[in-house]
Amino acid sequence: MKIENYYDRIDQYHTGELSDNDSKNFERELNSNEELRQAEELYRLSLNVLDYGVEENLRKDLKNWAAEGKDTAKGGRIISLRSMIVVLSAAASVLLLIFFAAPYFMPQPSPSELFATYYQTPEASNLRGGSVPQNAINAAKKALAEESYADAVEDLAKIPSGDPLYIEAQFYLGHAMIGLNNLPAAKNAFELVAASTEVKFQEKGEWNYLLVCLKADQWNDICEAKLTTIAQDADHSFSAQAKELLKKMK
Amino acid sequence: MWKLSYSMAEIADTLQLSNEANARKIKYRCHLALMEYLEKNPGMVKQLKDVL
Repeated sequence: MKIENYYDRIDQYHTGELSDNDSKNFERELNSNEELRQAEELYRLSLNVLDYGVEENLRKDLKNWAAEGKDTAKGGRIISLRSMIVVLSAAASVLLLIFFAAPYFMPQPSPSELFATYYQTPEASNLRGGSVPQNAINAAKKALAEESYADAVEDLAKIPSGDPLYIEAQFYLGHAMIGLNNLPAAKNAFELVAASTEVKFQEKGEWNYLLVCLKADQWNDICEAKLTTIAQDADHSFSAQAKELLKKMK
Repeated sequence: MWKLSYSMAEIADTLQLSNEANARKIKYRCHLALMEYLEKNPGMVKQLKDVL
């Protein structure tokens, strides 16, 4: 069973994000689709596991119960709580394994796979701010959101260097060039953004520059050094991702 | 943190992720991984059902 095929709908159903009509359809399908029913059951069970395994207060309670168990020699309730602790410990171990051990058992991903893992197009919420484009940047953002990369490049080319929006334009140009698979141009654009002092875009420029190097299969010692610098800078917005990427590349 | 009703923005902030979308992606991957693990381990599912 491919749980991921059902995950979104189940999640939306449980978080109340489905419309009344969609909820009713979902409930109807639960009765007729065995895979969906199983996936939904696993979803509910996983929530229960998380409830027990993650909630801080309950963990404290479990520790207290365990301590009480040591002090009390007898009592059926203690035995059942102990068994609960054993099972929950197992579940917690599984979670720890999933989070920390899995990367060590997986084959090293290719540069393209690493790029796909870390690359993100500019957020849609930022791209659809206004309904009518008022300037070249807005028009380019809209084109990017619609994956009309050539149109975006055309709009962004209207913004000359020296314009206050030039660095921002170069940032979006980098993404448009990735969309067009023009990686040298994407690299140039992000390099320019990375070298700027534009707070909102500079770190994004550094990070995306490295991702383009990965995708273009042009990873070298300079890229490695830049990635290490980002990873070691706790204040860098992409420090966590850089650390993760460094680990995956070793 | 998600199960404790923290918003994705708060999770992203606490874990120093670049944005909410990243937090959402990580939550999705981890939750899916847990469900897939449970699917592959019916013995554990039975035990958990007995206990939870």
